[in-house]
Amino acid sequence: MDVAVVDPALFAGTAPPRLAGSRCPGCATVTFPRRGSCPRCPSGTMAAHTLPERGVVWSWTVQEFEPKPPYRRLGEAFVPYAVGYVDLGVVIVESRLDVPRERLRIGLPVRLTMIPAFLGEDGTEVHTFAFSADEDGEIW
Amino acid sequence: MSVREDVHIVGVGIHPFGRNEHVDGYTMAEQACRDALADAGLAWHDIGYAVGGSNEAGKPDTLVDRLGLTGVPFVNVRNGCATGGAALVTAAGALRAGEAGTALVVGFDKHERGAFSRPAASYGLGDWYATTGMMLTTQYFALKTRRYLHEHGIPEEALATVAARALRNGARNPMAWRRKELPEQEIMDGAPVNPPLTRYMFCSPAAGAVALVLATGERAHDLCERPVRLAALSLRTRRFGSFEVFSPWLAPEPDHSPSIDAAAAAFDRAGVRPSEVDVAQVQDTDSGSEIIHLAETGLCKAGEQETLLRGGATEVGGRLPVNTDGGCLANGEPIGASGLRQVHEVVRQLQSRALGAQVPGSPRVGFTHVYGAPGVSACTVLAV
Repeated sequence: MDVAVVDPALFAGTAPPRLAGSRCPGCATVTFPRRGSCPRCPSGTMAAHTLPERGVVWSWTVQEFEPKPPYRRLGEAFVPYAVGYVDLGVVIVESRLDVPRERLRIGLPVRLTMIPAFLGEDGTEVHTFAFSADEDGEIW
Repeated sequence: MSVREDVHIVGVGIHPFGRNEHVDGYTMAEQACRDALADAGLAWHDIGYAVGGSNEAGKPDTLVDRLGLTGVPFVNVRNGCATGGAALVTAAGALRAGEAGTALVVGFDKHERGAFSRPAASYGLGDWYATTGMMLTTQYFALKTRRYLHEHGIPEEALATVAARALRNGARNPMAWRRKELPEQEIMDGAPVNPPLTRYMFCSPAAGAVALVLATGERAHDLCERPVRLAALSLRTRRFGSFEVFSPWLAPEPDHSPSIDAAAAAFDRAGVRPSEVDVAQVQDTDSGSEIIHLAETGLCKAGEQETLLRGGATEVGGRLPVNTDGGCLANGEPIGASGLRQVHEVVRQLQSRALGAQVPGSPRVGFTHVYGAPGVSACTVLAV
């Protein structure tokens, strides 16, 4: 099933979700989102690189106040949400965290998922990527 | 460098920081300029070179309309949080190059309430980054702080210790915005903004202005009984791997902040060791930033901050007094003026005429550090 996403360029797939990064053939630097040139070395090109979908929370916080526009909330009232950085090994990616507050901690194993972010012009839900607790990950 | 080429600060002026609802940026800047000129015993007509910086409060060189149409060269700089440092380095460079014998540097700003808000495109990011709620400066400071505390075993209570000291110093500084002391527990219990940071652990955008008068060599000693020598000033931008605001991704390797480069270059050029600093200003956009910057500038080792803070070393009477005027936390951060406020405070401390709490024992070496988006830092070493 197709879902509306915030920006198709972020995704290498949505069912199951995969993030579309890029990798420098010269120095192996991995970026997210994709970009055309390497931020580290003079190599002029970057190759498409699908990011791992599992990682661990590298840092986290909770957005307690409603951001100014162009932030768009999902429902009638603002609900605080968690954000963080997830260490995927080859790169650390900033993301919404779909993790209950009491479980948020550095080192928590997480897995890529999709969450509704806001309602589009036609009233349909627009989804974005997030990481949720990886129940299988605890036994790594 | 010969004595003749040494650049000194011979006059300082400041307009009170705060919301300043009924005063515009130019009026604040004009007052700071006039105060700095009076402090140096000079008239505007005596100034041979001028540099001004403001992020959002107007074109600085239009101040000539208020100060006098003398034909003076007046350069505008706009360099984000490093605006003050960029203004100072521009003026000092002009003096060393022999463009003039005296210079005036002014920084001012006035911002809207609330966290800074920027269009995603201005940072080369897609709209998704802002619409999904990730483009907030306060989030960045919280995420960076939490990681730093984790890596270096520093408890969250240290964040309250920093804020309590800033407010304590601010309470004694007549130019500061926040002048009410708060106990650490109240700071910890303050409204959460982005945990682990509460509302009292963040500075706010505000308004204010600062001006400095510079002079070279013997002229400086003629003008000022105790001129403060600009021993070094370094400005650096980020290198690969630096953890900066609005980063959708980070490299999986150690952070290398521009603060590390700027501070090391400043100490090296001044021929001063960080341990010789008697009074310091480090960028405290939030409590966590101060803790991080104390180590990045070399003033202490990473992980040593809690011991310093808890033991009172960073208090006005301590071994390493930090942000003696209350820093950004008590003064707010009018971007164009903030870096020069640091220099203003350290100059007054080194002349033993602080407007607020004075460091005892005639401090001789001072240090200032600013850091900001999108990965810039400026540091000075000042000496008497």
